[in-house]
Amino acid sequence: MSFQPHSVLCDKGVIRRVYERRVRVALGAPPTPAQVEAANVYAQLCAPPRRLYITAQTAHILHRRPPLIAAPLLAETHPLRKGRYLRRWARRLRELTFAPEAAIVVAYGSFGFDLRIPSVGVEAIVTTDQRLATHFHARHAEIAHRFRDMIVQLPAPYAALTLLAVMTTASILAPA
Amino acid sequence: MTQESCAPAENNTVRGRDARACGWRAEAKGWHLETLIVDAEGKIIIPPAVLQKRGLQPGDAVALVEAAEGLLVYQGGIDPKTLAWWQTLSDEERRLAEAEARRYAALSDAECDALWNEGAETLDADAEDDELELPAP
Repeated sequence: MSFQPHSVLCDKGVIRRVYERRVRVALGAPPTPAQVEAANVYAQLCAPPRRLYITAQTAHILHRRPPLIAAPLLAETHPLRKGRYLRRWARRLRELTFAPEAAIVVAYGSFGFDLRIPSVGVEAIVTTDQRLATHFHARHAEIAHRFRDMIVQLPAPYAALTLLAVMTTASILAPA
Repeated sequence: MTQESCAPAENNTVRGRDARACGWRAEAKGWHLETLIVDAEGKIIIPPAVLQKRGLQPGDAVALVEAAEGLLVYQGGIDPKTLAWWQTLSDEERRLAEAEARRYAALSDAECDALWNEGAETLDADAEDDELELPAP
């Protein structure tokens, strides 16, 4: 991975595949290629001092799964809290024809809070959703323009935010 | 590594036309197909890009599976985080994890999808009450 972000949001698809990779280990069953890909990326991303985040929804789902499998994933990640303007940005992304769930994930990455630091947003989102990544890259200029238009009207620290990057698990593992 | 259901290599050689046909079918299914050439000693070389993508290191084992679909190279390796997790479990915890895994594996795809879609967020403006303001420094 040539780009080394300090803060990364793993989308639900990544965490699901990592979870299912562990299910396969417990069963003694071979993993699928998608599970191997996600687990390899997750292992790379877990290296400190990088901060690894999940959405509140992913955390909610993991909390409802058996702790033996889910608890380590919750310990290695931190859920972002919904920050002000998150839904407003998600609705604007919907106007750019992002799927509802994709819009929410990108909005979490842009306006999600880590109250421990405190900080707003992450540098990159890692996703298994190729459609999300393709759409984000195809309309990047327009998204960046909309993002600037939105944050310029907001008070600090929002006005200083930068647009995140979107990476797929496959692109992280591909040679530079 | 691949679940491609293409014709198997014939006499240890993947013919160009067969490989291209497999490639089209693999692409249509969203899979990636690599053509590997068997040398005189029966060795094949996995391209560096695939090694890196799959996290394969020198000395790692892969399985060669003779399946109805053909000859498949299968990565049975395990990433360090998953391995570390498994190794921290006691025998009793492994039995419990296996029981949980069996319950999960018994779910249908629709049930799994429903499980992973619990608590979906809404974009409605009237739901913004739960959005936090960053505390003042």
